[in-house]
Amino acid sequence: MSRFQKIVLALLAAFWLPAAFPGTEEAEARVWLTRMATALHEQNYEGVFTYVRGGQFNSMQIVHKFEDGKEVERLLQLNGEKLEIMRIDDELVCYHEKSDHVDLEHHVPMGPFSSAFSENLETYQHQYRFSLHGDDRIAGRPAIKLGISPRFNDRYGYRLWLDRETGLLLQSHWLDVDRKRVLEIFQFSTVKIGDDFDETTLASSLSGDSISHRLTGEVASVVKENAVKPRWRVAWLPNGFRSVRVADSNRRHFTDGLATFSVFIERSAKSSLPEMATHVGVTVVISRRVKGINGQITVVGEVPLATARKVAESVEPVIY
Amino acid sequence: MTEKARELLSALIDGEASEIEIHRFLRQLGEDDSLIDAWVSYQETRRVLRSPSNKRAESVFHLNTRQHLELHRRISKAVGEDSSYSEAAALFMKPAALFMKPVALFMKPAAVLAMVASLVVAVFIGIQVNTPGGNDIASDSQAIGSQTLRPPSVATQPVSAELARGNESIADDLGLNELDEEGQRRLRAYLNQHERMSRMKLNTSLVTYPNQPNN
Repeated sequence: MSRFQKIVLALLAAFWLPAAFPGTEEAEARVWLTRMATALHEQNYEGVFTYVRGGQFNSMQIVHKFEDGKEVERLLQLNGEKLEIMRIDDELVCYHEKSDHVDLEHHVPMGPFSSAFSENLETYQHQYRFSLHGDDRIAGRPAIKLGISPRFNDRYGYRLWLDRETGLLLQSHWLDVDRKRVLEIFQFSTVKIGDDFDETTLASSLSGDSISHRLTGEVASVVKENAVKPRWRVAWLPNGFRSVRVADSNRRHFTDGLATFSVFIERSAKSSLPEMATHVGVTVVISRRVKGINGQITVVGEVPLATARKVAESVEPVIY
Repeated sequence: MTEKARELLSALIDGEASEIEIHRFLRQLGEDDSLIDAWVSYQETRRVLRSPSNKRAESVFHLNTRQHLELHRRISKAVGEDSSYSEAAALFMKPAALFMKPVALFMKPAAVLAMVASLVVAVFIGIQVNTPGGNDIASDSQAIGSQTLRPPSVATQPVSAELARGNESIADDLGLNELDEEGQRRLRAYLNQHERMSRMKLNTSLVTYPNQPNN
């Protein structure tokens, strides 16, 4: 082989090959995410996790069982008020210890990711980059570290630690990539994965003298298209975000498959909220009056404030 | 207090401090009295603002953070002045003349560490005492409030401050605890509705409106 041919081959190896097969690491990371999806649903596990979100710090005991294609999960809040969440697939019921101070409008500390997290991989894969960051150890188990970085700074990124053996999510950090800050932390402090746990751990400890209520997101899967003509619209969305149909005409919900935000409208001459911008952990809240709409809109979501503001500013009335 | 220390405290209050920053804060807490004062002021502000709405808190007697800190200082002083403690230390060191040098090497840093650790414990006990029942952890409105308050002596800027423009109020100036009951209730309802929506299987409900591609 001539010297010239060697140089050409070296150049090809250096520039063409990575360009031709850019996704080797990314593809592996996606495989891990798919494993995580399966594990979140189909693994049997029990343990205690902590969830730090802004000023909130929750310790939860979780028992998750998958049997005959059905997920059964029990979450018990370990600090403060005795609160228990029983989940069978998508049905969530919340149990409170009976007292005079039960607040049914409470935060649901279920951890960082919805059951749809990895089912939506196809939706969000174009908005994020996936990477592998070597090995670690969480809750006494070998873990692999994954990065999910937004392609643009209009949304947040993630670091995930997955159990090497099963793919179960053991730890996650929600990151403001721009400001290099961790916004939320989820971490198992103890976890047992496998079939060998006591069935009685799935039984409610609050049965009997408790107050219960069903939790619902009110997704309107049966609302007819154009049944109600929208009177307002969000004219700008970050790339990849799509609307989720909801039953209430006074709110919209959007997702890119991973991040979510909601837009609420309060139709009254005097709003109960002032114009403001703040955040609760990773969740930003921005409220402002909108020209042409008699009321106030509030954007709530897990996106940077600049993104939420741009969404808020784009809200406009629909004229028919 | 240095600008860096202010930023650190701000990050901690905002709940945005990284693990390294928390460690740095704990280290600086033992070195910088003004940082402790700022932290204590913040806790007191929070306690004062919370107590009127928390009837359960009123029915129980609690030491505030400053009282805890004072208690800690007095105990530390008493321990320092206690001759039996000095004698015990001397007794411990005398027979071990051979090992005196290495022991002495460890004594000072260990004492400093112990003081810093106990101070941190005192401060954090103070925080716990000022949040009866620990219910602030599970309550959105209170948690929101905890992020929007600042100690009076610290001129920190919230995250939103550098981005806010137009006639939006900065949450720091407004203070979500200053929202009236209806405002707090509505905000909490928004947060809960949003959170519950986020947990649904959204991929089955995605919709695209004709001519309004994103709405």
